[in-house]
Amino acid sequence: MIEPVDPYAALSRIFEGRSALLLEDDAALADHVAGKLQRAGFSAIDRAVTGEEALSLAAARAYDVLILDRITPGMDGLSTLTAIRDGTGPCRESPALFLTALGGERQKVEGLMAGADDYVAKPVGDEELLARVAAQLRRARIAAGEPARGDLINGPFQLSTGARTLTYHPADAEARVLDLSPLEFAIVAELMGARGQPVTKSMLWDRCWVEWKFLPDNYVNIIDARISALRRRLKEQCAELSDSLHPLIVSARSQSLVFRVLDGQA
Amino acid sequence: MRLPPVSAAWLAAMVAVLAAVALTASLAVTHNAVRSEQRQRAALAALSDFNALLSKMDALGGGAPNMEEATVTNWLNVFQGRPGLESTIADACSGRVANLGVRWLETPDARTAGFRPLAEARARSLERVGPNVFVLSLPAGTLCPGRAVEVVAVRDSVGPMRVVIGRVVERTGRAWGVAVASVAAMGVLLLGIGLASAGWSRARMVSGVSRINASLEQAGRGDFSDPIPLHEVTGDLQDMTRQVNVTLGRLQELLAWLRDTSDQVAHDFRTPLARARARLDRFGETGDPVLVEEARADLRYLTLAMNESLALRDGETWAFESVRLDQICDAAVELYEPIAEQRDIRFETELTQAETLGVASLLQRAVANLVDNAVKYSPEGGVVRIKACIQGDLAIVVVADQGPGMEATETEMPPDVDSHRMGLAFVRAIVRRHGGELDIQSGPDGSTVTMRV
Repeated sequence: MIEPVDPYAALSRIFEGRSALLLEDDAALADHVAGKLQRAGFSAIDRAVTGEEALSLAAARAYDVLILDRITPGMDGLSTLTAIRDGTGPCRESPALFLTALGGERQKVEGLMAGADDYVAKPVGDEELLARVAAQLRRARIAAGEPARGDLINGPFQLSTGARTLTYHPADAEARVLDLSPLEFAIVAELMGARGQPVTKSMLWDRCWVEWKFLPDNYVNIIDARISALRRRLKEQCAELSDSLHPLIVSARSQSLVFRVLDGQA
Repeated sequence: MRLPPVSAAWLAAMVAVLAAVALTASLAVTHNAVRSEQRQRAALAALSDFNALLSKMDALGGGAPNMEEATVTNWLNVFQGRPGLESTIADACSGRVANLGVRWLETPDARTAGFRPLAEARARSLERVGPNVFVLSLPAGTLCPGRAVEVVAVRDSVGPMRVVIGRVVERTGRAWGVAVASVAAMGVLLLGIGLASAGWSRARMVSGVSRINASLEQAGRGDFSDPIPLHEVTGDLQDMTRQVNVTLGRLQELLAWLRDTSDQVAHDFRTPLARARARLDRFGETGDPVLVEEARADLRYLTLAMNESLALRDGETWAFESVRLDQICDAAVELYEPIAEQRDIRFETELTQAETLGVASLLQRAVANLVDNAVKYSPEGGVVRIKACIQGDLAIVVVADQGPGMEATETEMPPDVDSHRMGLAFVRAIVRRHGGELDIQSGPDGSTVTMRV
């Protein structure tokens, strides 16, 4: 069985040379987050304590990602982001995450309405934060048109986001569309889209269980059970694939999941 | 539009007065009609008397301009009183004789005969009957001692003589008097009733409003326990009273809910804090690493409690919307199916449209907690039955498992006791937030939780 390299170590590739704006008034927490991003590969992290400070920083240069607290001295994070999004500065389109203690559903909706791309409630694990930042950078890259839009190819698998199908091309047999429920397809699409980078279970919950307006206490168990069933289904339907490649969805550190990257293996 | 400052009571009083005036006016009109009918009858009788007299006198050879003395004497004799006239007058005055005939004659040489007041009475012409017909008013004491009398008479000249021949106009009569009196009494009665009911309804309105005011004042001081009995307020105010009662009840319910949940929150926060603290103290003394893991579990529990109470607080500020409980149940089954499958637990569902008003995220949590509990405490290979329907005007969700029951849970499953109990307390808080109730039946064959909202 081939163990994939640590997916979190692989994140450094996407963080290399990136810049972040961090609005956080708690010095200890700001130190911690900035240190973590720096070690993960970020080249520049500019810190702001007040909303006004963050606004003037955002006007000066284009950041790859904005990480904002909501309750800050002076202008609060929500108004700051609204001002950045409504302005004409270089950060107008930068991906933004709220990292805040205000974790209610209503507050989440407020944050997303103000133009945030993700909303993370404190306390949050370091790797969870890194995975979420990576997901935003990934999406920004896709939005900027870096890889051509269309079907996603991963070894023998072809994911068509338009048709919502996953097609399996065995080496020596007819190609076939795998039978997946809408939820299973959404999970596979989310994991394959990350291209070997880790997706935490709470990220997966946010993206695939959208009709649920809260995170259940036992979401890890719920997702684990769902993933085991999905692994079984994939294995049954892709019998030609070498046993060493199963399970296709592997677990990684910090409650995250990775869909194996099979390029060059098929 | 700005309404004039007139109360309903005032309007009612005005209507009563107008009704009385209209009644009186119609009475007067009727009276006049009857009166003129009686005058007419008297006038016709007087005219026929006059004509009869003329033809009688012609036969006696009267009527020429130069009348002979004998003829004049004849005329005077005819006009002179006849025997028994006194009693006839008395009968006419008391109403026993109708339309008594009266007459008066005056010759050129000032000899007279008959009833003198006819010549002196105030006269009013009655031209629509005839050119020489008049209504004469005789004051009381002239003909009848006790009352004024009206006479309709023909005043004319016969040769050189002036003649007045009339008939007494009948009194309107006792029946008429009774009718007038009763109509007048009715008018007075109507006026009285109108004024009284106006006053009464005004008083009731005022007392109803002040009753509502009293309850609201009490609510303003924080006491919502004084609903207004509907029978104490007038009909116009009942809709408003009902609304006030519903609002007060809702406020009271919310207050009670808030009190209960804050008690629960205090308990849920303090217990794990106290436990964690005790464990860390012990860890300081003994250094046993197991205690750290236990303290960590306490903190996890504390986070859970905090998330739940924050969710309730958050849910409180959301407006109610239409929520389909059957769809939530369906989604919950899909959510927990993989976990259930791992232990061969089957779901049996009976879901019919069950719509209610509520906070969607809270109701999702409630249903998910119930299903989660049922799966958690079901024996391997067990069945979890889920039913959603409408019963009366409430939406109902029933979740039944074959677990060991609530009482047994406490002894048989100590590690999970808290989360189990707490999950249900949270569900109960949510259900009560929606003005519903949670019913838990627990026996050896399993537990059934019924949620009505």
